[in-house]
Amino acid sequence: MKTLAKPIQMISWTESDGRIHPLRFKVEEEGGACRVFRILGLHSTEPDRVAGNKVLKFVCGIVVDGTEKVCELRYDLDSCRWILFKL
Amino acid sequence: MPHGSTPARTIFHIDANAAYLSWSAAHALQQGCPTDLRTIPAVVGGSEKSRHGIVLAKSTPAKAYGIQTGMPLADARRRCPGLVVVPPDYGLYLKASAAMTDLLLEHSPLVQPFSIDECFLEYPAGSHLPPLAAADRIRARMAGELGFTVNIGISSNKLLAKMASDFQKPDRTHLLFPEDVPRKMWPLPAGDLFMVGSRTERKLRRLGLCTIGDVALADSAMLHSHLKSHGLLLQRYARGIDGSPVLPGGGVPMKGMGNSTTAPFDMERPEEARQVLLSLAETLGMRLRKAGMRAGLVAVSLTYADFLHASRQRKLPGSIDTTRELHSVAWNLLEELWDGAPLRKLGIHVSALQEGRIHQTSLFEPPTGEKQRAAEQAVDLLRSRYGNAAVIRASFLHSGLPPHSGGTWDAECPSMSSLL
Repeated sequence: MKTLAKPIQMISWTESDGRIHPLRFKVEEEGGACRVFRILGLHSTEPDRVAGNKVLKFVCGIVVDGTEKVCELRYDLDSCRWILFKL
Repeated sequence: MPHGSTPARTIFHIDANAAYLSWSAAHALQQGCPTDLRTIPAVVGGSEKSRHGIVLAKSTPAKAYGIQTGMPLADARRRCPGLVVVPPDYGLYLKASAAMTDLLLEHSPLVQPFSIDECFLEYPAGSHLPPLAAADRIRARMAGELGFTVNIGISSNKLLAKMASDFQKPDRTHLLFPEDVPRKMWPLPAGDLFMVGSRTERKLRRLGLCTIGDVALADSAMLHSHLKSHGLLLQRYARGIDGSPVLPGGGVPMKGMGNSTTAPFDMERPEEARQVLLSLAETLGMRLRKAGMRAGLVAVSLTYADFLHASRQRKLPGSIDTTRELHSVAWNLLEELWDGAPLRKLGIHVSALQEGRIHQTSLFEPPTGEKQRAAEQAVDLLRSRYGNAAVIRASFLHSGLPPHSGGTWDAECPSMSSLL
């Protein structure tokens, strides 16, 4: 996996106990075109509080150009922003 | 060591290494920055354009270039071309500081935040881990969970624990017990002793006292005659004596608050200084009201363009909390103090704080109308909901000056206190 740290748009589902499931996200590519990725499976969720900044890390499977790949998504709890951290 | 009937305490002093830089570096890594700022020549520095351009914190590789905290950024860049400069992120620093305190509270219920990057902790007697092992565990957790390293000083009192955490850095545990004081602390320069600033250090040197040991062994009467009770306190500290308790939750009650700012240009005209003072009073007034306090004393400090410093204070007959009153008192003080030479920096400080609900009205001063207070409270409410820019004074339009200055902090945090 390569670190990308790209801001993304996300559609997610939150359970009544606060658990978050990312479902689909949209990445803007260099030319301005957008690509949508559907999350096939959530492998792990892990909280992180480096420097006191709370982040949720999601390791998920997505399909890129026909092959299944693993990516890491991060959700920043204070800014409510998602990033595609690694792919 | 037990002395008398008092059982020995075990006190930790936990100090984040190069706090601002480490926190910015750890956060940058979390956000995907490919380089760890701690491993390259990097500093946290204010904006040079608005003349806040000094080094606030530095990495170890930057230190190797002779870069010091407080040095102008321009000097730092001359010493190290290619130096990476990142702006301070005070919101992040408050979060990092709170996370550090929270982690420590998992090891002891007695934790006293002492400044944004240091805490005291009283390690409970009879804990299953011995103190040294607990300190190692804390250091490992800080690095692993929070992404930054700390130094831990261990002793039987707060003073020695604090002195110990300042020994070799980073990511170390040091012990300094009373019996180690002559060997480990006395050879150090007097300036390294807690509460000895550059002025006191000069005074001590004039008395022929260069090391902490010199202060410890000096004639007490001589110290008292030159430095009064402060001299005796320093001597107690130099001998490693301190009985102050660990005060959970910060302990020291808020004694005062202040704001200062370096203006984007040197102030020469009274209207400019008056306007900068207003921007300071705005922020300070909001902080004061948010804390539910009123001030009984107002002080104004200034730094001239040639870096000369002066200040003046006034005890008020009553107490105040509105921006308008703060500004009016501060402006009167500045008029008395200022000789008209170009000003670089202005500051307002208030103290003699009292709870806001009850206040003594003065017979001699016109009371500030309830309307004024209500108006300012309404503005506070709007700003807290929609941001400080939601309502600004018209006099700041096209003035080239920010409508609020100083007080970058989102919350009141304990500042470095002279009280242990």
